[in-house]
Amino acid sequence: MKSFLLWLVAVALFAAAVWSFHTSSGFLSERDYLAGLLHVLVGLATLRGGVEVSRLAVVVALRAP
Amino acid sequence: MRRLVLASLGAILYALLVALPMAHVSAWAARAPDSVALGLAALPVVAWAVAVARPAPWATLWLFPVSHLPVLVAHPDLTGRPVYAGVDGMLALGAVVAVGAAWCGVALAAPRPRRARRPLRDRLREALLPAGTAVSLVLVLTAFVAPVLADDRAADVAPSQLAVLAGVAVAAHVGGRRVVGDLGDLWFDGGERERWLAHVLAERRPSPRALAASLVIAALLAALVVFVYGL
Repeated sequence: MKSFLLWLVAVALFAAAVWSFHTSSGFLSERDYLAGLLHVLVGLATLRGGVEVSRLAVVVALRAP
Repeated sequence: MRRLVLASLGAILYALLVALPMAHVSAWAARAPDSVALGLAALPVVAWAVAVARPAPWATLWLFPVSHLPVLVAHPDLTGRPVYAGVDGMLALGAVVAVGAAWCGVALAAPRPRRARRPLRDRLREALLPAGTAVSLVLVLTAFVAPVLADDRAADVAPSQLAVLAGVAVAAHVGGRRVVGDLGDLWFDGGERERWLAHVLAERRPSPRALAASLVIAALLAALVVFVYGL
């Protein structure tokens, strides 16, 4: 159950990161380079958070008896 | 694993050589590709499936590359100046060359000897990480490319190409470093899991309260983003 909740949080963070990348592409296409770059950085930071939560989920799931 | 890498590289090569140029040219000309063009563009897809199912040299080094020729010869605008002009065009050409070289390298690599069959549960568990990597790559690349394809401003090429290049760079970072690198060692190595957990417990000393606070903050931030962007 704990592992499932952690995976859920990780997937939600990954979805938020993908949405941030989608928004950044729109800004880059409109020549708003600073906004696009900031959104890419936000997306990468959110993705890093999701990966850390998923690492915890992997350890919790694979250590369970 | 080799087949998964071949499949991924083949899909990227097809997208760079045929799919993306065809989408761009159609958008610029404000005209959808005809049925003949779509039929010729489907040939590499069939060759890709054959090469992945049976990665013999005749399929990977002859059938798949040659299957691109009919559509590229019939529609020379797919390799013309509108697609490959300027610095961005040169970068796109470099990406095609790099992915093509990677495809040939994987195709020429000797396959590992077959091992004894392991239980299905273990094989599924091993397949989850490469499958997750592929899904992550596709989602990130689609997130960057979708607004570019939906944009109907035919004359503005450079920003769209920049967005696609940014998507390729981010997708490579996500797939290569984050999913495979950060998750792979914990996924497959029990000793690494124990070492990481010891490191987290000994050096970071998190408490259940800190974990709960982090999750609440993450949920509040997500709600704030949804409120700001009005989804």
